[in-house]
Amino acid sequence: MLRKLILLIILVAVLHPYSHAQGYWVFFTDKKDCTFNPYEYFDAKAIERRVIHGLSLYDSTDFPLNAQYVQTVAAIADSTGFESRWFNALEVTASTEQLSQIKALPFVSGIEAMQCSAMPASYTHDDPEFDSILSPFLKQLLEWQTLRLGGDAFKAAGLNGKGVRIAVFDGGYPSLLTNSAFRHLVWSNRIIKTWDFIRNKENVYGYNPHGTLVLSCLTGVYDEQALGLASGAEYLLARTELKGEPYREEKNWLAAMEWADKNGAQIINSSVGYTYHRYFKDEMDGQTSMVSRAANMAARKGMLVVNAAGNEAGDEWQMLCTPADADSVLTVGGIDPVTGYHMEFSSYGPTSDKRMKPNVCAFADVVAFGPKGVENVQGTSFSCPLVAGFAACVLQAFPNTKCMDLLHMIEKSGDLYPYFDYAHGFGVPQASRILDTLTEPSPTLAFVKGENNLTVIIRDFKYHTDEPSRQLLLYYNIMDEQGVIEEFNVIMVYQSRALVIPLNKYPSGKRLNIFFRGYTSTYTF
Amino acid sequence: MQRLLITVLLVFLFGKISAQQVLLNRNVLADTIKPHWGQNMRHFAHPYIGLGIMAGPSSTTGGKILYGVSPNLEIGVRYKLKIARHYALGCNLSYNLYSYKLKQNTLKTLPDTVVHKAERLLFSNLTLGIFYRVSLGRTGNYIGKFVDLGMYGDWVHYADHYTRDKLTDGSTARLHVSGLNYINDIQYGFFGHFGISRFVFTVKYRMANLFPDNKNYPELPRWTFGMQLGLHKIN
Repeated sequence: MLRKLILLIILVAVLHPYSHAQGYWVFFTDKKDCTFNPYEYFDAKAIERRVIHGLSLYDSTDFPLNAQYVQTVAAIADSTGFESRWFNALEVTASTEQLSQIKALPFVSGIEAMQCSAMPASYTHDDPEFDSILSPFLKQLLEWQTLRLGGDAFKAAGLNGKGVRIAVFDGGYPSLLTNSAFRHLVWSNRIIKTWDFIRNKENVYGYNPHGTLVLSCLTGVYDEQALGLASGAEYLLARTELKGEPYREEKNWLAAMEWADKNGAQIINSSVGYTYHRYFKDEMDGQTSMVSRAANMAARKGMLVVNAAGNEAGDEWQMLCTPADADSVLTVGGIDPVTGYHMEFSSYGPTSDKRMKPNVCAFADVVAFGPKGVENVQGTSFSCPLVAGFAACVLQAFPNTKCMDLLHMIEKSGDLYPYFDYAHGFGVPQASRILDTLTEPSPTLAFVKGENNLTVIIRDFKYHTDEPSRQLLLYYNIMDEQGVIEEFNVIMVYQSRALVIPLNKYPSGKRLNIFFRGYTSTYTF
Repeated sequence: MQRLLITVLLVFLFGKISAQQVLLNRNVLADTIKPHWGQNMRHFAHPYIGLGIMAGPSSTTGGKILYGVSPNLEIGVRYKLKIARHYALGCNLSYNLYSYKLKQNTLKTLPDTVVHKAERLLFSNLTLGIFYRVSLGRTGNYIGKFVDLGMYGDWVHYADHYTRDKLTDGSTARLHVSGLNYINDIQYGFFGHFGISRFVFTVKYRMANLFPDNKNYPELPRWTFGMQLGLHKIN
């Protein structure tokens, strides 16, 4: 009997979280004696980006890892893999005993377990419609998904992302080379480089069709109609996602980031995210996850990371994913093209440390082009490339713009700006706000303070039954003294007496912010 | 009646026109309250069901069973208290049915030497188990992979003996004897689980003897291997 008890205890010890080999990051203390030539390592566009941003070409975060350190760790661990220059870290597979030995090395500053299980941010409630012939609604949607961002203004100004290099991280790009929607891209050799980080090969033209669909919302053209705004850009295509393979995807994302940096990417489109499989809500603080730290590092190196907010609003999680929580990431939420406001599955902000997210939004119900033809698909996966394409057009128009300035320009072009909430961000970016100096809208809102209530009046408002419903949307939020939103709402108004709020509902100091048809007003209780 | 209908219609129309239609309402303060209950939060409880088979040898040839047709059915509730990132304590409260189908041959001595067409001993137990859990790998609010090691105690609230025989005239005689007086009411042992989300592989070992020593009965197999299904949402 005692033997059997011991057998069970051994079984548990063997299955202890750290007793068996699994993936880890081993962080080194320094990069002593490492040599680096930026002109040999970087693509010309990467050097150009650093010059624009005033960044040193000899930043130690770009130096390779110390070869001696790598060799020493490799001799102890089961295996080693990716060497992250940005974090001075080595990917290892090791058991608990091996980790103890590695941790004792004088040049090892720390060890972290790897994460995994990214979720692509596409959302399908039923099978996507595959067809080569679009219904009238989908034909309209196809045109509208770029028009809503002011695609016609960019087109009139000759802007299509030409000369801008965009890196796309996804699960694969099947049919891309033969798909008519990408003919213009393939024939003009604007796929600069590709790399499959799962198999360590160049060929990415297979596997998960999610990447093809996402890319079509950047650069696809169907029946002479652009599905996205960056049909003239250059592309770096990375395959980073393989659902179900543990511990690799976060590493692949980081490796792809460094590869994109090296190869001159100016914008990164990432339509994936990590949520409850690896993290708790209070870890969505832009600092805990490796990928959010990598995204912040990418911004420091001058790349704008555009990430989907996630599709968890209908789940218990509800909140945005990581790296959408990173401070320097342009996080894109989703709106419904029919109703004009928040799509029910689009994840909400703020971050767990109360930072404003998402930054902007775009349609999360779009027409995309996949291996089987044109499809109607849903998800913030597809809002993300629409905004990434927008960013490419802005960068084409203003090529010396630094990435954080570009982010703020896009925020300020939001059609709700300066109004903000945790579902829509600053609204849908508008090309007209980038290209033209707009006149200030005339004040349309007035506050009337009664004895018990505060009434919000919309001046000169007349309800017409044939008015598009999105013209009747009124947004309002309650903000505390620190600028943190406590409550936000969207209502449809049918009369000029738009809102009545009891005065005793909110304590003194709280602010009511209201947006209606381009005009924002604030009342302080 | 007509006036009533018109009034209802007017009220409806007036209500429609004067009301603002709330399309989206979010209370952010409520959203950020940290929950204490959840799959990988401080507390979590869920029902489960299980099916196992007896395994291992009987103590002598007189108490052999037919393996594969001697199942253990379990239904219960499991509670888990998270004490650290990877560690938790917990308990199970369950109902267990152990059914041992006795092998019929001339060597049989349990509970007697009479050879039947079929014979079964059934134990109906209420079980309380406590365990220590180790979670493998990092997870958010999600039950990932885990290993449990624990001990259990059973109260045998009834034990039955069933026999079936074919009579010479071709008819079947079934005998059911309940309230057996040769059973130990209290059982105990230890168990282990290896789980991935709601799917759990279980191993149990019964340390206690089923029968009092003075009965000289052979002990039935002590091992049980099985599967459990946690009846909770898969995140």
